[in-house]
Order: sequence, then structure tokens, then C-alpha cells
Amino acid sequence: MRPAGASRTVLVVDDDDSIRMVAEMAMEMVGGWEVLTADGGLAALAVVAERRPDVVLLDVMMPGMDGIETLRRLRADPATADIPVVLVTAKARPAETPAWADLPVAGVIAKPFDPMTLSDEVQRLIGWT
Amino acid sequence: MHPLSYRQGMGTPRSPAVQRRAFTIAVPSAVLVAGLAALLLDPMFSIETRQAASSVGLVVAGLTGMAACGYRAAQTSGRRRRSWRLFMLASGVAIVSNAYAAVAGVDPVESPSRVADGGILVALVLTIAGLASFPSVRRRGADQVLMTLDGLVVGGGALSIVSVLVYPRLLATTSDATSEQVAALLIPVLDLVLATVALLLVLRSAGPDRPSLLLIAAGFVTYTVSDLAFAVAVAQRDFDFGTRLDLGWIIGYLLVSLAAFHPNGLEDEPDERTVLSDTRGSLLVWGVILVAGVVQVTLGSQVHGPSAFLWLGIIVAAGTRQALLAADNASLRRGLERRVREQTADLERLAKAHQVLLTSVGDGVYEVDRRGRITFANPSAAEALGVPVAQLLGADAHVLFHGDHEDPFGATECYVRAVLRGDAVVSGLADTYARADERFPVEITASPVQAAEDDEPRGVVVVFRDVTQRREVERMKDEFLSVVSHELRTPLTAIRGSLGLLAGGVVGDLEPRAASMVAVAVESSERLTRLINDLLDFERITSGERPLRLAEVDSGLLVASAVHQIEGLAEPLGVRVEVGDCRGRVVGDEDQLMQTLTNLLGNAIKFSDRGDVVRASVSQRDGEAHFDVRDEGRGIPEDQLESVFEPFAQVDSSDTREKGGTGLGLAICRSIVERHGGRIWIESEFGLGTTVRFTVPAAP
Repeated sequence: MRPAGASRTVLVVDDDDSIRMVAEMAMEMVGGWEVLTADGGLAALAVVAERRPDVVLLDVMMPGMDGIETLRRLRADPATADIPVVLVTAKARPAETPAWADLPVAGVIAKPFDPMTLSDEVQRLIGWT
Repeated sequence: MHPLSYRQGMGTPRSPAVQRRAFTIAVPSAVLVAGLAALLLDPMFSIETRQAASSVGLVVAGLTGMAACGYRAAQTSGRRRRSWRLFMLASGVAIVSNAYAAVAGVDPVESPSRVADGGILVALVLTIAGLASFPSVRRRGADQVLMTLDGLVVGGGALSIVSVLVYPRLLATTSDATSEQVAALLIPVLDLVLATVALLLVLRSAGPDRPSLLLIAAGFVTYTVSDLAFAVAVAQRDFDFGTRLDLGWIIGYLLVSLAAFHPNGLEDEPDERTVLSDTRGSLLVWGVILVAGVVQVTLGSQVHGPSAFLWLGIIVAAGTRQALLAADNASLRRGLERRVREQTADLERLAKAHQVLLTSVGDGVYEVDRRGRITFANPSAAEALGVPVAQLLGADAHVLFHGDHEDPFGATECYVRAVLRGDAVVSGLADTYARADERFPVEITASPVQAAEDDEPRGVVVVFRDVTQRREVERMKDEFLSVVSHELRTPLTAIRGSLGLLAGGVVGDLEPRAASMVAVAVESSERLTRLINDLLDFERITSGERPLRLAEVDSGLLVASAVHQIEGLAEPLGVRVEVGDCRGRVVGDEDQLMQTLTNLLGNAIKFSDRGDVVRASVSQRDGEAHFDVRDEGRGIPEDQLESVFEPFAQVDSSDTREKGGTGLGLAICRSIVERHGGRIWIESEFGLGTTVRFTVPAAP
């Protein structure tokens, strides 16, 4: 269930500025989330450490530290291990990603996504409906 | 000519049954005639009666023999026909000679007739010619000469025996031998030769001819007896026509007649099963000489005069025969040796050709015995493994190829063992072989080495190919596709997202015309997404890169979740999706079967009109699950039921735009279904609706 009273904070991690912008607007203006952004894995870890969002939307293919490594670090740190993560990836099709099922994530959303339903989908995946 | 009328024509073969019946009548008839003649020639009858009986008997038997030989000639064909014609001619000549002697009143004792005796000699020569041309198993020139020599030796030997027993009396009285008397002596000699040749032919001829030849030989034995007795009687000036001596001639003719009637050997087909034996011929020849020699030594007088010439003849003939046989055998042996040499050379050439083939082939080939030891390896195998062929031979393939590395198959899963267990051929299996310190990927095909299909394999032959390069190319292609799909989808995500936000009015309400244009842009960007997805799927599925993860799946659950996924598409179009009877479980890849079903349901919905019903159901028959997706849409023309499965083929090219399809959906479905070992097809009535059916194996 959604935490009562507290505002909902989401961290959007993507190396692509335009996607970051679209996701930010979709979460904020359609879903009413407080949105934090990061353009890479390392930046994301820093933001998480500082602001501890309710959920992380994590791109997988990023230069430098990619999404999978970022996820591993988040899970490795007891302070962040229980923050739900939703992967947002251009390679979400079953044919391309046979191993997704084994990752410790709340769910996977395929790119391109529908901005009008993105927030609902995220909430469904993390069980806030 | 009509076949039937041909059969009824003159001189055509009777059926063997008819021929057998004729023979069974001929035998008692011949016995009756011979018995009657024997009775009438009893001394209690007057000489006139006996002479009349003898004449009638001879004429009847002679004419019967001639007619029988003529009949036989008409029944047979080829070389046998020629032989029987010669026998007929000989009988005719003999009868005419006898008739001439009778009519001219020749007294064989006082005034022998050269004409009559000459006639008989001609008849005998004709008979020899007939026998010589009789078909036998092996008829080479040397063989015929050999047979004639054998005849001479055996005949001479028999003559010698007879001479010791009979001729002393004969020769004693012929010190003033006239040429007629010599001729009289020649006749029994020729009789003997004939009997011998006939007997030798029995040894050498094809099986079916033997009874006839045996009867002819018997006939000439009786001639010989009578002719000898006649010669002695004439020499002793004590011959009277009309005694039991004549019986030999009558019986001789009768036996020849019976030979002509015998049903065997009508067809002109030498029986190859009868194998000629030189040994039996030699045994017969030397046996006769031995007996003749023993008789000569024990009972005979000193060898001189004609008897000496006879022995000289016998010895020369026997020697020649043996020399001929030896020469013949030597030439046969040379021929055989030459053929063996040629065939050995052929075999060597063949083996060499195979060797060249195996050493030239680019794939590695090796053979292991039942214990897994390498018994053969071609140079390509040695090169790939970095080990000389000599070092490969005798080595344990398992240890050598997998080295100290972890064995991907383990001792029990090894394909070599699998093939030895009788799992026929293992094909296209991936393995990794060791080369020095590195390992390389291979694709192998292992087959049993067995002489016959049912034999236990004596080993396994493995063909392997280094697929390092191919794997590299595949990896590069994968990487390329991966990058392309990511790079295409990233800007598409931004476009789709921005347009979505615009269309959703998040950044302010749009003027109606702008809203509809944005809606078009949203729809187009979605179609572009689907196209990219389908292209990648199609590529992966058709290249076999997306392996089937087979499991038992409940068909009802499959259909239900596919329908659930697609309902969002159906609702806005006003199409109802129903789930019919869904029975049983199937064996398949759940994801891919889901993809197939959602594809088919999506098509059905897209091509339905508002208010139509789309229905999905599953039935089981013959070990297969039949999935049906039926719609009430406009249907597909019959000539396009097959072509719609081609990539980018739609019934109407405007469909692609109108219905938002990519043109790859059915092609992907067909690929998936066929990889499951199933079939997919469409049944449609144009204007009334369409049913797409596919099958996958049912769970056992």
C-alpha cells in the first residue's frame, strides 16, 4: 500500500535527456509524483543515498555504470536494499531479455512507454494500487 | 498374330503337362513293342515268322524313332532343335540303309554292301554331330575337343574290354579281312563312342537334359551290343537275320524314341546351377582305362596287331586329353589370376579414392572404437586439434578432446556413448574441443560404424567443424541487432512520450485539429514500435536464435491469458472475444505460443466489424492440440490463404495502414508453430469470416 501522508518520490535514471524529461513530466504531471532525476548509475546512487526515493525507474543500457550494476549496488547496500526498482528498458521483449525474471526488481517496463499510463503501471508493479 | 493362334500353330511347344502325359503313354507302348518282338523272336517260331517280326519291329521302331525326333525338334528351339533334327536325319538314313539292304537282298555274310554299311556310318556320324551340338553348361572349343577325346578313350577302353572278351574269336576269323569287315568293325566302335559321348554329356549337360541323354546313351549301348554280336557273327559266317540279336537294334530305336518323348529340357535355357566337373570326367576316363588294362592283363592275350593300335590310340587320346585339360586349366588359372589382379587393383584404386576423399575433406573426421580409442583421424581433424595423426591414433578421444577442462557432457551424456547405445545419429550438436591451451567451439555429427543396419556398432565416426568464425559472425550480428534496437527505440520513446503527453492534454488543451494530428502521430509512432519489435522477433525466430523452452502448458490457461492481453484492443473496436472449449495440455514454449495466440487474436479483432464476435478454442485429436481462432470478418479470398503467411503480405495493401499491422505477424506465427512441429493454416469463406488453425503436440 501507498505510504499514508508522505509525498511520493520517484527517481528517474536515464542517460538520454529527452527520455528523462518525458518520464519526469509523465510521473509528475500525470501521476503527481515528486520526481528526482539522475543521468547515470553513479549519480543515481548518490541521489538515492541522499533522498531515499520511494521507487527507482532505472534504465538498463547506460554508459559507465549500467542499470544492472546500479541495481546490484542498491541491493548490496542494506540502507537501499528494500527500495523497489522498476527497470525501464528498450530491450524488454521476452526474446531479447530471457534473464529478467531472475533480477530482484519489482517489474520491467518496455520503452517506448505510454506516458499517460506510466504512473499507474509503476504503482501496480510496486503494489501501491 | 494373335497370341492364341500362334500357340495353336504347328511346331509350337506343348505344355509340360501334355508332354508328360505323352511320355507316360510312350513308355508302356515301347515296353509292349519290345516285349512282343522278344516273344516273336523266340526260336520256337519258324525262321520266316521271326524274320518278318524282326523286319516289322525294326521298321516300326526306326520310323517311331525318326518321327519322335522330328516331333521333338518341332517342340524345342535353338541348339536343341538342331540336335533333334540331326537325330531324325540319322534315323532316316539308318532306316533307308537297312531298307536298301533288305530290298537289294544283301547277304551281310557273303556279299556285304558298301552302300548299306556306308549309310549306317553316315547315320552314326550325324548322331555324333547332333550330340556334339547339344547345349551343355560350358561350351568352349577346348571343351568340345576334350569331350570327343574322352569319348574316344572311353569308347576305345570299352572296345578293348570287348575285344579281349569277344574279338579273339572275331579277329581269329578275319585274317583275310575285307574292307566290309573293317566297316562292320567300325560300326560298333562308333556305337561305343556315341554311347560314351552321350554319357559324358549327361555329366556335363544342364539338369533337364539328362534323362533324354541317358536314354540316348542306353540306346547306343544296346546298338553296340547288337552290332558287336553282329560283327562276330558275320566274321564267323554264322549270321542269321531274325534272332534275338536283332532285339538290340529294335530296343535302341525305342530308347531313342523315348528320349525324344521325355518332357524335360523343352526350353532352351541352360541350367547354370549344374556345375561341370572335370574331376568326374577324368575319373570316368581313367577308370575305364584301368578296367580295360586289368581285363587285358588278366584275360587278354599278348598285345599285338589291331589290339596294339587300339591301345596306342587309347593312350594317345588319353594323353592328349590330359595335356589339353592341363593347358585349359593353366589358361583358366591365368585368366583367374589376371582377374584377381585387376580386381585387387580396382579395390586399391577405390580405397585410395576414399582415402583421398577423407584426407581432402575440410571437416575433421575421426573414428573411435567401442572403448572410445581413436582408430582413424583425417588430417583436418589433426590440424584442428593441433596433434599429428599418428599421435591421435590409439588415444582416448574423451580425454584428448576435452582435455583437463570440464566436460560439458559428462561420461553418461557423451554423444559417442549415446550412439554406441544405439541412438542412431546425433547431428548438429555443439561441443567444445581442446587445442593445446585453448578451446574452440565445434559442431559435431556422430554416427554408428556398422556393417549392416542391425549389427551392433563397432565404433562411432564423428565429423566435427570448427565453428569459431561462425560464432563470431553470429555474435557480431547479435550485437548489431541489440544496438540497432536500442538506438531505434530510444528516440522513439522520446517521440512517443512527448506525443502522448501532448495528446493527453498534460501540457494544456489542444485545439481539436491539432489534437487529431497528434493522435495520428501517436498511432504512427506505436506502429513504428510494433514494426521494430516484429522485425527483431522475426529475425530471431527464423534464424533459430530464439530457442524453444518446451514445457507442459495448460491450453485453457494459454488462451485465457492471451485473451486477457488482447481485450484492451477489442473493447474500443466493439468486438467481443469469447473463449470456447479448451481441452488438454500441450508441450510448447509458453511465451512463443502466447505470442502466436495474441497475434492471431489481434488480427481477428482488427479485421472484425463492430458487434462481431471473435472466438478461441482448443480441441485434442491424434496426439495434437488444435487451436482455433475464428472471426466473423470479411474473410480471405481462397487464392491468398497461403500467401498471407509470407512476410509483408496482406490481403489488401491498404490494410497495413488502416489496421496498423506490420505484415509480419502471420509469418512469425508460422515460424513459431513449425518450430514446434505443428502446422498452421487458414479456412475462410470470403465475406463470412475466417478461422486460423494451428496444431502443436499435445502433452502425453
